[in-house]
Amino acid sequence: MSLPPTGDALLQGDMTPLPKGGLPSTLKAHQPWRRTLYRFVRNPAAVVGSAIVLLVVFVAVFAPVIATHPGHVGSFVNIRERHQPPSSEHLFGTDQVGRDVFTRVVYGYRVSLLLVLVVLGTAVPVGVVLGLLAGYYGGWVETIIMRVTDVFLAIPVLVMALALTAALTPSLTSAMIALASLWWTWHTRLIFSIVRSLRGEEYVESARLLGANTLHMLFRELLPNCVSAISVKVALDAGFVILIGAGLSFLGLGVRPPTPDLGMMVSDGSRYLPDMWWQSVFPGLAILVAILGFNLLGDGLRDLFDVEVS
Amino acid sequence: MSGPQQPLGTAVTEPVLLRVQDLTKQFRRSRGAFDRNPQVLRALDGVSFSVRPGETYGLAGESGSGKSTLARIILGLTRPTSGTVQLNGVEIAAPGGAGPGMSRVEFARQVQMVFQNPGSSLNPRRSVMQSVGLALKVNGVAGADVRVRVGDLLEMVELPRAVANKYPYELSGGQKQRVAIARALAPSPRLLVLDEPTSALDVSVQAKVIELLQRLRAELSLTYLFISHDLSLMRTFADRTGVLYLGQFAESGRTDAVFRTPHHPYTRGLLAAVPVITAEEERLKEGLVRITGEVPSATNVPPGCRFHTRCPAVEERCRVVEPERSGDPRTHAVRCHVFPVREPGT
Amino acid sequence: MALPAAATAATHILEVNDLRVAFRGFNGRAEVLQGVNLKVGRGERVGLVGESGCGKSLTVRAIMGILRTPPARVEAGEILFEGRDLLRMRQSERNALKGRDLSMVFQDPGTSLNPVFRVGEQLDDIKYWADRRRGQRMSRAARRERILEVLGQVKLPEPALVYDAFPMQLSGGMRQRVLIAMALLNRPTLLIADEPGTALDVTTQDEILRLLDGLVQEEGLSMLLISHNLGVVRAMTDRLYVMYAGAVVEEGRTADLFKDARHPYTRALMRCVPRLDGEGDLVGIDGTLPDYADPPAGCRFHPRCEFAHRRCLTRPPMIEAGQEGHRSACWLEAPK
Repeated sequence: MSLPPTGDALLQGDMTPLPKGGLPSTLKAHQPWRRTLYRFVRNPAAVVGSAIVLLVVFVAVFAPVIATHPGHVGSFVNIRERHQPPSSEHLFGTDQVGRDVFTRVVYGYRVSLLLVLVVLGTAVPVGVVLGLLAGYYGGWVETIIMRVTDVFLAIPVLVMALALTAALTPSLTSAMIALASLWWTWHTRLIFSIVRSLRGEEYVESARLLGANTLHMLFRELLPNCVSAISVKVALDAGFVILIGAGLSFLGLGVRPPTPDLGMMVSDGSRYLPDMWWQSVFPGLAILVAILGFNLLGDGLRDLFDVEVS
Repeated sequence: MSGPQQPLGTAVTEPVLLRVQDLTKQFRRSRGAFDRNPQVLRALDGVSFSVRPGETYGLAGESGSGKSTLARIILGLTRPTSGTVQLNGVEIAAPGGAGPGMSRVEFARQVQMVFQNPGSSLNPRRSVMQSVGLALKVNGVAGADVRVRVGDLLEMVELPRAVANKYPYELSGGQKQRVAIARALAPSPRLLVLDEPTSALDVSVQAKVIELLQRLRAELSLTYLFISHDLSLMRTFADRTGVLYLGQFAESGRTDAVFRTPHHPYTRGLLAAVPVITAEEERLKEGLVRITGEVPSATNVPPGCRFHTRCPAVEERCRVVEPERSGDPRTHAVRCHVFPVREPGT
Repeated sequence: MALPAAATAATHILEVNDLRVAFRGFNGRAEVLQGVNLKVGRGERVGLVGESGCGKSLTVRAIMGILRTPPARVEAGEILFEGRDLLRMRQSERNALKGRDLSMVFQDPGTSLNPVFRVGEQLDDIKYWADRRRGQRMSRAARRERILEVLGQVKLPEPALVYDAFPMQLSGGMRQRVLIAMALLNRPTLLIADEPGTALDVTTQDEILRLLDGLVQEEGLSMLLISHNLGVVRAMTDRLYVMYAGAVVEEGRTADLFKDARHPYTRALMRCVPRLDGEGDLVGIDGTLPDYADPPAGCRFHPRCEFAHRRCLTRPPMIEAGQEGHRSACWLEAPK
């Protein structure tokens, strides 16, 4: 195939060859994280969830500044002010000994979040590592780890908490230990099943072929592919930890007075329902909001990661 | 594999990089804890061949032929049931053995693989730099050097150095496959196993990747074990070809010999089924008889010649007696009663 | 169903006119199909060939009405089936045609059949609903008879056993035959085959393709065959459309195109195909598919074309080239 003859002067300009590759593109190159951000802000669950979670964290962190009556956190009694309904001075009213409910709710968030941090901060790393080992090695390692996991999974949280309080006195610490000692099992299970399915992937085989050692395989090849599942689970777990922690305190197996704890507050205030409703309702709502936020965030993250994978 | 490999007394004059001898691989599938007669899947049933340095040996076959299993055994990803594989005289695969007679890192410097599916052979959560640099890190190359060397490798596969910072999902299929090639070349291996390296790519991209592989073969003095179901590509790319059927070589030899004068009815049937686009290729296919039916399951390999159930030229003895290999696999060899390779003068 | 007077005069069973489909995504609006034109005549076997990302699957999905809108959007054009525009039909009318007059053989037998239902059940379901949409009803026994008939047509041994089997009990080749049976079940007039047999071994694929060809001729069907494999379309089609980056770049009789391809892309594509006789050089095409969100001006192939010149910055129309019916969207074919 040859070009038409260039005898025609009029066409001459038209026939000038273009550079190979065409003219340069006008589109900006985009960073990878921008894409994720784009999708994130279009996901209502993720946005609302993170907003709530950020609010809760903010409140907890800046509790001393936000709380109207910081002194009411410890042992404080003011019988004259007891059972005051919500007002401009006491936003959430006061409880049976005159403490400001709003302040205690705000500080209660601190306790809840501390519980989340400690429980998940210990359970997740332990669970993930055990899951990685069981999934990667298989055989005896898998059998031992997974059967031990099964044993722990069979213990109800409440029973564990009761057993611990028999040994120690009920406190925030005993609640933390009770929860952490059982929480890791779910993460082990999750990571185990993910790793088992990833084990046969070509990129895993390829890494072994290239001479990677076990540590590399576990933490650099397999773990990054579990991160999305872990983040979703952690977000959802946070809500559950708060809920169960509140439950333990409600039953008297957790935090001890006078430390404000949302669960305890609901419990104490339940005696005065329905007249002095503010004492139970506001702490209860606070728990609800926190759990809702974490759940929405977890759902949003899961939607986000699902799309990314596909 | 029975049959004389070489007349006794002749010295081995040519060096051999890879020697596979009588390799078999069976999988036992028990259908329950108390199953007394577990099914035996015969993935490989006595395969022998050797690959010379600088050569490209092609393994052709359809599903159930055992070509992927063969590749995995050579790479040490599975152990054979019997038989051996030697690389430069060193045994690298044997049944029950502890794997290659060398450390994993050492082995990585000898043999590498490029997988079929570019989408799944790169870790989606690792950047190109991290994936390609892995082999370098494992071999003790320091941080800054890794960056430079990865860049060099990317240039070698005709990719811009900037690709190092990208993640697989940002790359096209062809680009990913080039990255996979760069990664495989990082430890400077002598043998590269290419398992359907271009099957998942468009034909125009495939052509460029093949072009690249040919260039690298010359520049780096590589030896290739090329696995493909695409016979036209095999013709273009491989020096010698072995056609596998149900775990055994039906025919093998120099590529042009096998393609121009195919003996085995299976080879002929395969060639007849290839879609071609020129009249000249149609002429090549003239007279080749198509085969029908499906490959029997490897758990139920037919007795006698394993191809007899689908063979258009089947005779009585084919149903009962397994054919011996005739001819010299270095030039042209067949396992067939009806169409053996005849030595000149017989 | 009585067709309006204008439609009975339709010479082509399928006509796609100026189809434009765009996507809304991260980088803004991406115009993928740039005005696709194609026709399938009665009893004709037409091929649509192109590489991945060229828009052929999108075109087919638009024809079958299974486009995902959003993110895709049909912006212009018409798809005439027997003279009636599928895009402007009522949903109920369209559904009545789908799977019946206009039927598709899907690509991947591995994922196109539901693994938890028996083959017979799935086929029965399809027949039942297709009939219902048309206001017809057959007894279960009659449906089964028809299904067994069609399973026999696709040369499945022991159709009664296949009827009761689960998809995983069948081999890949058998499953592909079931997919073809699914398409023929309701006696369509137009069959669209999307990369049939691609996932199968070459000998099995060959058998399947020859079966398909036989059936198309036997039943007098029209066929639109989609493929990325030039060898397959050469053997199976009478006329051919070559697509690149969302537009048809060349069309004509299959024999003409293979003997004397005109469009630089078609010619380059043919040079990419390895040859069974080992002759010729394997030459790839430099560059990559354009980004649909930021496509090159004019002819979308020009950045990769060795003959690109200034005129190419304006999109070329289809220009007559060579034999009758042979057209190429390239300025090089323009009369001086």
